[in-house]
Amino acid sequence: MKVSVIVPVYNRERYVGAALRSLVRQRDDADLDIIVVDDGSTDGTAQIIQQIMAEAACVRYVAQPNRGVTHARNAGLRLVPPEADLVTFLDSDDISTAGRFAQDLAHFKADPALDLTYGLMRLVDHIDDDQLAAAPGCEGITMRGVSLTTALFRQRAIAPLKGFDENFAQAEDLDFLLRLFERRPRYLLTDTVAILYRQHPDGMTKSAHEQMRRGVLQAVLRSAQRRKRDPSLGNIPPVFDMSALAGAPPKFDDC
Amino acid sequence: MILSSRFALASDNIVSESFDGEFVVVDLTFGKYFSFSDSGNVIWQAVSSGLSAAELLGVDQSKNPLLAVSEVEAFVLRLLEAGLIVERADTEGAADGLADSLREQLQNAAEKPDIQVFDDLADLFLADPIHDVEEPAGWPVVRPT
Repeated sequence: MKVSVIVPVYNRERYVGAALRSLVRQRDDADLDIIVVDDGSTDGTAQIIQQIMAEAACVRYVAQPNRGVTHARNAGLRLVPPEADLVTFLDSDDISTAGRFAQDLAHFKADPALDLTYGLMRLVDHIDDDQLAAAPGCEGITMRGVSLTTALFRQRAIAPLKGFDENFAQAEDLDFLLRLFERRPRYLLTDTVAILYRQHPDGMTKSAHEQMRRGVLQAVLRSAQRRKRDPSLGNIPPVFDMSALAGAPPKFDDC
Repeated sequence: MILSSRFALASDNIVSESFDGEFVVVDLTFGKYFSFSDSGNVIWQAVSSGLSAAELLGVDQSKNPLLAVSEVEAFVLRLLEAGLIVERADTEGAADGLADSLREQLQNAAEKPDIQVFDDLADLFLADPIHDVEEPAGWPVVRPT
């Protein structure tokens, strides 16, 4: 099955190589079409991508002026070929886990009506970028979060959404997922740990947190309003499970 | 009595945010969220800003037949029952001019005061990207239980 993987990137020379190599190593598991959208990087990101492209024909590269991740994801969606069965995403600082595609593709082959799989993410504080795995001794949390990267979407299922809403500076992924799940898709929650999510020690700035907070609330409000206007839309099924984050401290485990 | 009372958000776990005059309110304790009809948005803004419903309605309630006093009273009661607001002991009012502005919006409302309640995203709010707090170490914000 042909899988288009959209990787938006902006000034990630330190991590984008590992992210792309984590995908390329799985090219025997799926017919991968890796679409890297460079959102105006000014560091060495482009050179690193070019090096990987020299060894992997499944990687495509497009550069655009900096317009933000939402616009970059939409640019990637526009490049998905009609023959791609499935679409997913990877953030340029994360790692696609080995076997991630092999595991979830089997579900689509078994069920032609399946619209998406929604797997797990593992948040870790240290990643071995040579081994493309969690570093020995790191701490992590596994959960079913709000993530485009843990999902595999049938292209026909997301086509009606017409991409990401570029009015969102943050939480455009949540808005996208809410719009999809309101449409009552046929979905499967899998136990596949699809990505290693890199936790950066400096965390999120206060202004970014405020943008995220506003974005989440706006996405939730828009979802409520859509469902009020259109009773054919459904409530959001219980797809998010962040119970590992509950409690103080969260339930970290060793890598 | 309800009409003349002043209210405040019930706790720090009640989060209210406005987008172009439309509000979403989240109860982080129970993971519920709320949205309102157009007149409900105006009344919510009024009571959560310290105006009483009586001040909002003013003396002439005949201009909009959707806004019977009983409807407004029932709406405020629903806000109380949902645990979104609590009655305030002090009598300090809202900002000058707010009542006039909201009164005009209310007169133009096309829907009765109404509230919609949802509980399908409780697991999302558990991870709490909502609270305005610092994130000291890069891990997601975790709401104290």
